[in-house]
Amino acid sequence: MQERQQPTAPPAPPRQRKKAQGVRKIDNIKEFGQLEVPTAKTNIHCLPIIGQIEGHLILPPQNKTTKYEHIIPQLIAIEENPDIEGLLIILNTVGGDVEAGLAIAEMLVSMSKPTVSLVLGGGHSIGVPVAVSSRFSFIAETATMTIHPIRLSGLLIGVPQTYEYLDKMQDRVVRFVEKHSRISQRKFRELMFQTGELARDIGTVLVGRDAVEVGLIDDVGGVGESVKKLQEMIAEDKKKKGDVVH
Amino acid sequence: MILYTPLPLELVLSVEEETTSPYQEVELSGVTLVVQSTGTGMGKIVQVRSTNPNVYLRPEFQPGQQISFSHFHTE
Repeated sequence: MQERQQPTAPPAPPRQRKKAQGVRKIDNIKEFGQLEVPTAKTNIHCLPIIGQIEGHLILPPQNKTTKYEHIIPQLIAIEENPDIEGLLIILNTVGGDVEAGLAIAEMLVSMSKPTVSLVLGGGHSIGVPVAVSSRFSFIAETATMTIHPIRLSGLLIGVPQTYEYLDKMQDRVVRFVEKHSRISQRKFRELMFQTGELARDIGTVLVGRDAVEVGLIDDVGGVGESVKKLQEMIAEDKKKKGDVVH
Repeated sequence: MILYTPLPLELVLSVEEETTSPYQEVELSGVTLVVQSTGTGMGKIVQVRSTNPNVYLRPEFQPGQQISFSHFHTE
């Protein structure tokens, strides 16, 4: 980053100046340097889901969050925009609000455009349904996914109905994961209630290939594989659409 | 609300002394930016919020860039 002391930006080459006049808001950017805005177009967009998935309540500021009110309109925009042909979801999340996570996952499942998810770092708890909601999922070799039971916090009423409510909430997650991945409900529950795996909790940590072996994730891979897969799926979709027209 | 996270809840929900976030959202040429205020109408880019990967390549949106946003609508 260079410090620029001049009050005005240096004159841009004549060819780019015309473009800059069209985007007047850019003039207000300080320390702008060259008015060279890359015009390269991309047919895929990427959606990073990082930190806690934040839903109905605002979490204290020490949390890094991805808010559902940001993600959901973006997904609608991606679905609507004809220039966008595919979506890459990048996950590095520690879970979060069950409803918000499931809402995002349901939106992703119902998208008509090809979607690929990539779990980098971690895709824990409610990140699991989000990761499996894409048409094809990847996990980095070192990335982890924690599967553990849902807990209730705060003041609880100690009646059997509380347990039933909790069980129902957990079923929503389990059923979603079972429906959208190759894992069976039995296996997923087994991983969820495993003891001796986590230091202060029951559940399982799946590292990279483990997640593929249990059938949760489709393949091990990184950015290269994900983008390649997405482009293949886009080409396939186009071919299918072409066939329908003829 | 049920939080489904491996993080201890006391870590997620603990409220620290400073509860107001120093960040604010600004929209600049159609891109939503999270900026840290450095003075009236001035800020430093903390995060770019877009799904368009090309936006992240634009030099004026690099994290740490100083921007002036006094004329824009802020939330």
